[in-house]
Amino acid sequence: MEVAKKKVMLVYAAACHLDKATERALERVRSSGSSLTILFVLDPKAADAVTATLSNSAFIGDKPTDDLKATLLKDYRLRAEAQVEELAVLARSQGIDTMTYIREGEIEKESISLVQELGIDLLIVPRCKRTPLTELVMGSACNRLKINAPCEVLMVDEN
Amino acid sequence: MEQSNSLAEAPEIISETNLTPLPLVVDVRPLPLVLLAKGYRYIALGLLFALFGLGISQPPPQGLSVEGYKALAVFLLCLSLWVSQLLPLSITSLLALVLVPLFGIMSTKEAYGLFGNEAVFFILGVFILAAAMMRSGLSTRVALFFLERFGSSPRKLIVGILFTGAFLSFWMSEHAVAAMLFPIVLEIAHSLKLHPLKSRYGKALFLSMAWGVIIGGVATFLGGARNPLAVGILRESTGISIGFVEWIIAIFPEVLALGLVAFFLLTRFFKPEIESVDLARENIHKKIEAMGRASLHEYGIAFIMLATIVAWIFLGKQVGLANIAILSVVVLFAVQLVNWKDIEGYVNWGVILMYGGAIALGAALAQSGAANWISDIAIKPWASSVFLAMIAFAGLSIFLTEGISNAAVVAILMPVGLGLADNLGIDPKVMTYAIAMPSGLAFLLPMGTPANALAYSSGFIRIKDVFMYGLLLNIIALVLFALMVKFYWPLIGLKVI
Repeated sequence: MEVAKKKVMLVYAAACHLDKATERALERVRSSGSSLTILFVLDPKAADAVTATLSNSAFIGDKPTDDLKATLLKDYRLRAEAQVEELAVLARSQGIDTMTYIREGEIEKESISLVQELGIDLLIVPRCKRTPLTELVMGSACNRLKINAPCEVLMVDEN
Repeated sequence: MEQSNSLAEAPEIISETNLTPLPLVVDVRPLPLVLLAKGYRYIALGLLFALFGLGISQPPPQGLSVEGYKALAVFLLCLSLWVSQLLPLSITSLLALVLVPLFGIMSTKEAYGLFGNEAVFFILGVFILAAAMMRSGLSTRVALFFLERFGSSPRKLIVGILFTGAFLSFWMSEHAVAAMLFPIVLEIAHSLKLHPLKSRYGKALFLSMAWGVIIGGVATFLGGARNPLAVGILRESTGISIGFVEWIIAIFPEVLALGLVAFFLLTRFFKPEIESVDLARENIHKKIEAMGRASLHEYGIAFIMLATIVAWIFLGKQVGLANIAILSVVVLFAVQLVNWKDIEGYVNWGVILMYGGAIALGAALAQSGAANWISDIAIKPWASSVFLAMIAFAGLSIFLTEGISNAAVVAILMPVGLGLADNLGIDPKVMTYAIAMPSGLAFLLPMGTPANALAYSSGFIRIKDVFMYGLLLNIIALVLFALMVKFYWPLIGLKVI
């Protein structure tokens, strides 16, 4: 009886170095004959922090602020596409069956939604180091994913 | 590569056609923390107002009048709100405007009269003129004009961006210049195929944008509304004013020196890993071609802008800066170079509330004697040297502005600084320069100023890049300021005492 291939998904939300998480994801996929799904989640609120300083303390008008927000979001998407493509090329060069997605929204909700849609078995989440106090007070998307995802979650510390 | 969900789509709703339910995400933090996170703002506001109520009902300390004590209480409340931004900056200023007559610090007529201050209308006029330049595309055309001429090598392109940012910030809000330049620099970076976080030249491009507008923004009254705000508080508190040209003459050497230092840092510590910027030049050239020839509209706005600047320089004292600014605005509308609907979107009217309220509060502190009392009790005892006291204020201004809006820094420090100036016999103009100019030099933190925030958002710069070189620039700026006070200002008749 053929063992069903496991589906592994690597999810992240910020364009940054993902060396360890990528390595773990590829390792898991190679060892279990899985396929790899790469998901980048674009949070539209990422641009708000920047544009808020323009309108709240720099008193720039709505029109240039909105134009700037659109520019920022377009740039985030381009960077996301470039990074996702880079990872996908690396995976495919190792003979791994790879699919890529870019979605807009909150990382927890979009990840869980795609996990449910595709029947993902393992979710790999890169995690940046934070102090325990920061995690306790601010919460952590990674922790929330670990609790709420309907599949195994592996968190990889990147720094 | 699938791209699902666009910004335009409404949040996912469970419906008959949607078989995938909305994922439930449970917040796993302790419940008290969750409640605190959701309600901290109301708790903080409640506490602040409770403290204010408690404080203002106490008898005044010795040496301070009842009105002065109440003005101080209102000032401390507004200071807390400006720093914490629990309320928008402009709403805090409105609150100041209301509390001053409510608590009998000043008459209602006088308080509201201060709201319609000359400085406020000057700022408004400047913002509308800048809006006309942005809306017509004139500012973008000028920026591209300079970049095309400077962009023949990587080093020259850095000079070009630094110079363009600084030059444009002499004549319009530095924040507006940053917002306008950012997409251009972003496209330059993309056209050169620079890699975010890895490219040294990419860092240099965005830092030159940020530093150029920051440095240029302190040079005149037009680059940052904090400068006319400071002069407005000065005038209402002391009756003394600073002219348009007078400001430039006093500040420009530091602007020039900082520009040179910035260029040195950018070319020394961010050596380009590319040898040619031809692709960027092509990109700039294409943008210029896409804009087509300048329209009569743009020429008209450019003419009015130039005429306004000339009028400020030669007629500023006789006619009044605000009068010239508003007359120019009227002319813009009279000859239909702009229309109201277009301009509205480019002007943030909150600026009037912010500056009007801040000036009224500053005047209340000065007139009630609270400003003098603060400087007597809190500052004068350690201000053994007048020169050091001034440098200390400049240092306080330059570092405070990293965490709070530069307008808030001016609104907070000016009344206290003018009180100290009065006590120690310092020329109040000198104190105004010492507070207002450094308040615009927020090099250190990504969120210290919109220009830094934009540069950081490009993905090319890490926090430590901004912090490290920003700290260096801050320290150099302070040292240059001290040298300017000591050696240059006496030459132009500006004496500390």
